Amino acid sequence: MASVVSLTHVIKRYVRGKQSIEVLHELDLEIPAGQFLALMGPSGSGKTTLLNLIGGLDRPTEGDIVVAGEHIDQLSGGQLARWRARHVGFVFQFYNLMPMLSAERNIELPLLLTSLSGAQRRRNVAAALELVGLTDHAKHKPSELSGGQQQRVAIARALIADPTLLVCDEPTGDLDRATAGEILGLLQMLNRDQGKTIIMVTHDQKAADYASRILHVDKGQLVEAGMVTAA
Amino acid sequence: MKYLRLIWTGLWRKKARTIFTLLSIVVAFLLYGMLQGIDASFNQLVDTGRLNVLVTTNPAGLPLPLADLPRIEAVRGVTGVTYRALFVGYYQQLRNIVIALPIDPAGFFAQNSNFTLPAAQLAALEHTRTGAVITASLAQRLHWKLGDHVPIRALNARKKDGTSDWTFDIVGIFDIPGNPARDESLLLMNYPYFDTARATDTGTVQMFSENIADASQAPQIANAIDNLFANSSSRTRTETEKATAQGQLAQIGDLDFFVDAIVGAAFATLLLLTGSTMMQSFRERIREFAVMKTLGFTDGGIAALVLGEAVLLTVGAAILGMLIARAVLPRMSTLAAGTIPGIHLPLITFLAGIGAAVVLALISALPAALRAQRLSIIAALAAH
Repeated sequence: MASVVSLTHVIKRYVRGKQSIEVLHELDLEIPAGQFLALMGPSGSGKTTLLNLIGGLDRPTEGDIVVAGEHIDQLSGGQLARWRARHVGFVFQFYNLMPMLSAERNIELPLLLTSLSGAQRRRNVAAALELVGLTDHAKHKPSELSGGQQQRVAIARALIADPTLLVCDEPTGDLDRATAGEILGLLQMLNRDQGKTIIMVTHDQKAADYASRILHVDKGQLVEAGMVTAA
Repeated sequence: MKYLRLIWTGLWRKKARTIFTLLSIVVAFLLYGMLQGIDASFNQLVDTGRLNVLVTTNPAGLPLPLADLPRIEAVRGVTGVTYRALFVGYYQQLRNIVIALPIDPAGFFAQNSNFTLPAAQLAALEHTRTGAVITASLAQRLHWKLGDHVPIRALNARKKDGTSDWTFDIVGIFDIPGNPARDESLLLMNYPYFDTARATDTGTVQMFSENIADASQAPQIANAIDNLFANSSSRTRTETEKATAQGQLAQIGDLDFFVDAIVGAAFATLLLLTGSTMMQSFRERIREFAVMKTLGFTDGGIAALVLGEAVLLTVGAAILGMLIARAVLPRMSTLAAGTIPGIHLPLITFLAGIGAAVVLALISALPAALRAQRLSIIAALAAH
């Protein structure tokens, strides 16, 4: 199967004062389309840095990153922003919803960057709300929703523009076990039924078990943990 | 248009702060509207002043003897002379101020041909001792109509019988198209009625007004008139109607400078206030802006949203402030007892105010917009 994500000899260094810290050491990674990949590893191992590079939020110090056929390390800031809008959906640990906007307006946000009409946007938002089971909460603000519901809104927002890739940074890190199970089930369903490629960073082995592939990031290097048969 | 809701929502994130900022801007633009309106009205007065009409007054503001009229009429170059006195009173309540000019109707309307009064009503004024003609706006304001018998209590003219109550018969309604005094509460009455009934200053007028055939001869003719009375007890100062208006304006001082200074100070304060509000609002939303960038909003797009909020708030509040000024200004003419006729906020000043509001908004929000533009997603999400 063709790779959606391809990293070649990727190095990431941060400069702190006079010190240069290499967080990722010559990483090579191929992620085929439709894969549900879990990135695990201890704090500071570089997994979030890797996720940020794949999601186009950060640039490598050296190496090539090709995502959805685009050399994203060569794009300008504006091009990268437009590329993210088209190809990547982000889900964060703390949901990162706009507190002043209702659930449906939060979900609509990425569509404002498209040429869709108001009516089309409303239709798409209604479909996304239905997909995550929150049709009845469309008008609710984030403060009126539980953590699980907020994360469902965040997932709907990530999916609304039909991205090539779903990037999730500890999506269940702030949820109780039962709610986390629901969210992971939802992600798994999106991967299985809609063929979404998902990359998820997690500390939690139980969460990682929902993925079809697990990679460990240790001291800036990748260690294949094996392929998993989805539950 | 699709971003308007986003901008609007961002604006009302902290309701109390936004309301206070909005009120500050409203007050600043109310001040701008009022001062610029007064300034513009004075300037319009000067603009409507004529060069072929001379005005003769006493340099100390004292009344002039009507007996001087024939000597002025005889000056070479003068083609007609009229005169007027001043009567200020009110109808029923003090807030119903009426400015009245005791005139000689034939001479006055001959010189002021832009005053439109039907010939029959002019004749009625001339033939009715207590007759009066009024502006349409005065008729509308005090609900007067032709044939009404109206009492006015004078503020500056006591009668020989010891009272201050004057009665008039409304015999005409006139208009002054294109003149700032058009909307004012002006009443024209017969000078003889006024002069014979008043207790003091009988036989005097406030000013003479001369038509001249050649405007280029205005300085020489004015000198000739003033020379006639140079050694008399009632000296005169004659100048063109336009110069008189400019002189009256100059008595107040450099109005343009004062208006500009006050408005400038208000706007400078506003700039700091709005700038501080926008920066505070930006700091509170660093994470939200970072998330929006993550979703694909460009650096420039985020900066435009910040600027859009400032423009929407400032322009909205500025329009509100200027609309209040527009509503209040006409009432100021009445409060000023007619000394500043036709005070209003001209459309061009209103539009200039909107332009100023846009510039103020852009300058005040620029630091916040630049910081939003340069915001690093990684740093912002990690730190906030």
